[in-house]
Amino acid sequence: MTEPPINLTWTRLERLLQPIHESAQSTCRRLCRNNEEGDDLFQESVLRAYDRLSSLREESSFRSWFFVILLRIHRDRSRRSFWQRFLPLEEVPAPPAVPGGGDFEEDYLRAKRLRLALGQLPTEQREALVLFEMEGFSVSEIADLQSVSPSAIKSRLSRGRSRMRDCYERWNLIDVKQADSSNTKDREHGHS
Amino acid sequence: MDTHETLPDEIQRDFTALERATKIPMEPLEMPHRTEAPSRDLRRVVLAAAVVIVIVGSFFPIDREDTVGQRISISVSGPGAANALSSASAALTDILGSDGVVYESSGTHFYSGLSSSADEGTMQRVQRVVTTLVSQGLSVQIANAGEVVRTKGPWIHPEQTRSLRIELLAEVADGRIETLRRRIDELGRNDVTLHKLETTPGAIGIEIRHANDEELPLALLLEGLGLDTGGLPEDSPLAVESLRLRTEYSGGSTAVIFEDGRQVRTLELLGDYRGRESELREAVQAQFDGLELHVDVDWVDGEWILNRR
Repeated sequence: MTEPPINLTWTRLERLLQPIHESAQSTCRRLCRNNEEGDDLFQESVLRAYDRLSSLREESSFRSWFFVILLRIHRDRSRRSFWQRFLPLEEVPAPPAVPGGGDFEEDYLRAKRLRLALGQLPTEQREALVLFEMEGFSVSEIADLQSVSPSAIKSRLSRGRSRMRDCYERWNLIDVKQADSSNTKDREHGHS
Repeated sequence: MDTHETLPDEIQRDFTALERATKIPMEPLEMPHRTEAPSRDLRRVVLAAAVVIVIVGSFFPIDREDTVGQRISISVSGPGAANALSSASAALTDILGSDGVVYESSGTHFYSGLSSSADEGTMQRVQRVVTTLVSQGLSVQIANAGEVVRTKGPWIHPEQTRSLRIELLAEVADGRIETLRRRIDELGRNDVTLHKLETTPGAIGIEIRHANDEELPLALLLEGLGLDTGGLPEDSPLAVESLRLRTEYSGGSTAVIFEDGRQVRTLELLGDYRGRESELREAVQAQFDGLELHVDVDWVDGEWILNRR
C-alpha cells in the first residue's frame, strides 16, 4: 500500500496545534451548549486554520492567532444559527436541583445549569467570561482576541457576571445580598 | 469597574464542574485526517463532494474520504415540521448512534449532524429519512460544514424570514402575548410563530416571525405594539408629540429604539443601515405608514426624531 504524500501545511499545523489543542478544544466546549457542538466548533476552527496557515507570520503567536479564528467562527455560527438566538417563549425553567456528594452526576447537573445561564448572555460577554474565568486569559489578551479595548472587556465581564448572578438568583440558587458582600475580594492581582 | 470581583461560590463551583465536564482527555492530537493529502483548496473539494452527494435525489452516495473532517447538517422547515421531525429525530438518533448527534429540534427547525466517521451505509439510511421528510411536503436544506450545498423544497432561510421584533413592558407583556396568540389562531396562520428575545431588564422582547412571503397581518403588528387603529393608547410612547429614536446595529439587523424616558420599544429591521440614513428613514417611515400611524421620522442634526403629524 502506497503511503500518502506528506502535506507540509498539515504537518506544520499539527505541530503548532499539539501544545494547545486540549485547551482550545475545551474552550470550544465551554462556549457551546454541549460538548458535541463544541467539538464541531473546534473542528471547523482547525480547518479554517489550515486554509489560512500561510498568513501566520510568527509561530510564537500561534495560540492567539488560533483563538482569534476560533472566536470568529463561534460568533459567525451564533449569527448564522439565527433561530438559536431565540429563547422559548416560556421562561427558561430553573434547572433541576443538584444533589451533593461531588460525584459525576453533581458535576453534570452543575455544568448543565451553568451552560444554561451562560447561554443567556450575549455572545461576546459569554466569550469574555469563559476566557477570563476558565481559561486564564488576561483582560488585555481578551481585548486583543476580541479586537476591542481593555475597558470594553472589563465592561463585558462586569455585565456578564451581573447577569449570571441575576440568573442564579431567579433560580433561587444564591442569595444575592449575601453573595454581594463577598464579591469584591481580590482574586489575582496580575490577572487584569 | 472591578475586574477582580468574584462570582458567588455557587457559580464558582458550577464553573469548576463545567471545567471537569469539558476537559479533553490527555491524548495525542487527532487531526481531522484525510486518507490522502488535501488538495490546495480543501473547501472547494469538500463542497464539490457535497454537491455530488446531494445531487442524486433517490439515493445518497457519499465518498467518505471527501467528507472526513467535515460535518453534514440537515435542516428542515415547513408547516407540520415539528411533528414530523419528532419521529425523524428519533430515527436519525437511532441511525447515527455513536457516529453523530442530533443537535437541535426546535419549533419548525431541525438541525442534525453527522460526524466524520459516518460511512456510506449510514448516509444512505439518513437519506431515506430525508426523502421521507421531503415526501411529506417539508423543505430540507443540506449543508456541509455550515455551507449550504443543497435545498429541497421551498426553503426560506431563517435570516430571510420576514419578522418584526417588538419590546414590551414586562407588566403588560403577558396580556399582549395572549392577544397575539389569539389573533394568530383566529387568522389560521400556522406559519406565524412567536419567539421570546433576550432583552433589557423590565422588558419582554417578542419576535413575530413567519415563513413565507406574505405580508405580516397588520392587526398583529398593531396589537403587538399595543396600538389599535382607533387611536393611540395613553401608555404608548407614540402618544407624545415628539420622540427621540436611536439605532443600534447588531448581528445583521438594525434596532430602532423609541424612548421617552419612561418606556422603551424597539422595532428591528433586517439589514445594516449604518451610514444609510435616508434609507433607514424610509424603512422606518414605511413601518409607520403601514400601521396607519400619522408620524414623520426625521434625521435632524445627527439625531432621529419622530413627530406626530
